Amino acid sequence: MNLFSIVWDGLRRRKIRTTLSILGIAIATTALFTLVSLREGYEAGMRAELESMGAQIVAVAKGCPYEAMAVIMIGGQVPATLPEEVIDLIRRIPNVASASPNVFGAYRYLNLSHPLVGITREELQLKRWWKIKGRFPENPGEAVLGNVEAAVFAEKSGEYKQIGDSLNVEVGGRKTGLKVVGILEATGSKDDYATFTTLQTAQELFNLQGRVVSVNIRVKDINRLPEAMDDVQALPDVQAVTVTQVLGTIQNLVKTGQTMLLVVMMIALVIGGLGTMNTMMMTIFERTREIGLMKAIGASRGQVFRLFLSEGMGICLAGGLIGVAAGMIATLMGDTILKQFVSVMPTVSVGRISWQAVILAIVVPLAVGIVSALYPALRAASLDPIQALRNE
Amino acid sequence: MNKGEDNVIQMTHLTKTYQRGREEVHALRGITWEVAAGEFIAILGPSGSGKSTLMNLIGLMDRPTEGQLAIGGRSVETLSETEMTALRRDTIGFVFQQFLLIPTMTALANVQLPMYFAGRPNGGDRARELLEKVGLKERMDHLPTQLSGGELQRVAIARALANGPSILLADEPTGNLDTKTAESVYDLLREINRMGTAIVLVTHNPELADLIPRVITLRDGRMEKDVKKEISAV
Repeated sequence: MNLFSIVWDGLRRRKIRTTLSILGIAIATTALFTLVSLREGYEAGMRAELESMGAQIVAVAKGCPYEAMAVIMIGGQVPATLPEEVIDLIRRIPNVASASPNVFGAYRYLNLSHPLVGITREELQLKRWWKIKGRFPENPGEAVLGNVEAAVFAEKSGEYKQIGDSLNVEVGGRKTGLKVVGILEATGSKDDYATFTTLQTAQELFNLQGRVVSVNIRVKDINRLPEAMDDVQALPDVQAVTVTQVLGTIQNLVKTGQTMLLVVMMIALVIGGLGTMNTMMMTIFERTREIGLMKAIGASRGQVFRLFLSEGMGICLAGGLIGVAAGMIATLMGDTILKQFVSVMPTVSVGRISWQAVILAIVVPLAVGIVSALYPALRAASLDPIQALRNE
Repeated sequence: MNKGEDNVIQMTHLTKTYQRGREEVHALRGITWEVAAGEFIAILGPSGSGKSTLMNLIGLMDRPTEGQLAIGGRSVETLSETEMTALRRDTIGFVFQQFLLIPTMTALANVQLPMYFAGRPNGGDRARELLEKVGLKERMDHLPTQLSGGELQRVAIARALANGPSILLADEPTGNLDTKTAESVYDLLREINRMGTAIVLVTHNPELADLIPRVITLRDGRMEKDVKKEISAV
């Protein structure tokens, strides 16, 4: 006989009530665990994503900063463009090491929309990790396929596009041909999902002759990034965004949502705690005579207190452990679900399980258990044995 | 014939007064009495005579208003609550009319419980021994719902003996049992008494009291009679 066996005996006698209390705590814990895990995964994923851009400053046309951000992160709709001349102006800034112009858009192929990015050789200065099988697009109409994109084509059309094959694509209702000259090996970034062509080809396809959507900039001296940023910003109609700023903005956006969720979760935990407290109070009312008996046969106040505190903690610990298990599953599924609803998502999975979340999801319910069982346990401990034994 | 230090219970001018609303209830009005080690005593008296109050005081569940009370040679007046609990746990065994077993625990676990509270977590062997002694060797792993009234009271008696008390307090122990079962429970108590445990038994039943060597009658918080007699062995 030990504390555990007595507590277990107590919890077991009202199975449904105990189960419901555990469930209440488990649901709140699952939500807490999932939120913390996904937030960590999201931040880490975003950081990796922005790293994979290679650029430290991105120059876009003046406009809504969130639109600009969307352009940078997902190559979305083009809100405004910059004249090509701006590239040279940027290159003349002393601290700029390289400036790579981009034109984005989408083409239709096999009834799906695919991102198309027009680039120059400068892009290779930024993305030194790129490995292209075949060669870089040099001539009009030539294209390099991201490895995932190539696999998607193979899956849809039944044939794997080889170097030298042609794609009959559609841009803005006009049919045109793209010739595959290379396949980009896996980078683990959104580049894997894109098609790259020459800047000129993209400009023609999207009717953006002489214009660029963004210029990706690397600086020589990272310590003088702010000055470089100011210099770029000073150019007419140019808005400069640093990668850290983008990350910060995203984090702020996410944080607002998170704070709201966290409040909801805290309310859920409080409700779970009240449920536990109610369960414990009912237990103590029902077992008043038993408590009197325990005291008569020699249980001290402290022993009675410990017994009922442990019962409450047992409920919350069980809820916490179930919550962690359910939270792990929810976290791994959460990546897939989030990617359907949230537009700005990193390519890598955000569903990573953090130790911080595991510890939090055990410690917080335990604390809830202590707080909610404290009063019932104190009441049980201070029952007068004579009165308690008389209780029917 | 008994020297004072042999008495397991010693009380002098013991009074207990309750406040019930504005009214003062004089439950005990000065009782001087002693119980020697190994005695078997019945307390008789109508309801309201102070039987329960007296049992609560002897059982260390309550404190007297005035007078002295010593249990197992220790004066109760100066004990802290913790000391009272420990003294109760180690000196007194309780048997109740309604048995009061924990319904979700087996007979064995019920008997182990007092030893757990006494910090003897491995009381399994002693609990088995005690259950065997009360004749429940085959029913140790049964839950209270699977036991008859007589069996329940036997488990309760085994539980009361768990920490080796010098006094067993039995409040109407046969009150919920039919005559035949009551007799066998009484026989068991006799046997326990013969092994050296003093028993103080409260009853309404004069026939049961007739079987007990010393009978104390309470009335209106005072001791009315204290009769000792020879009982032939059954």
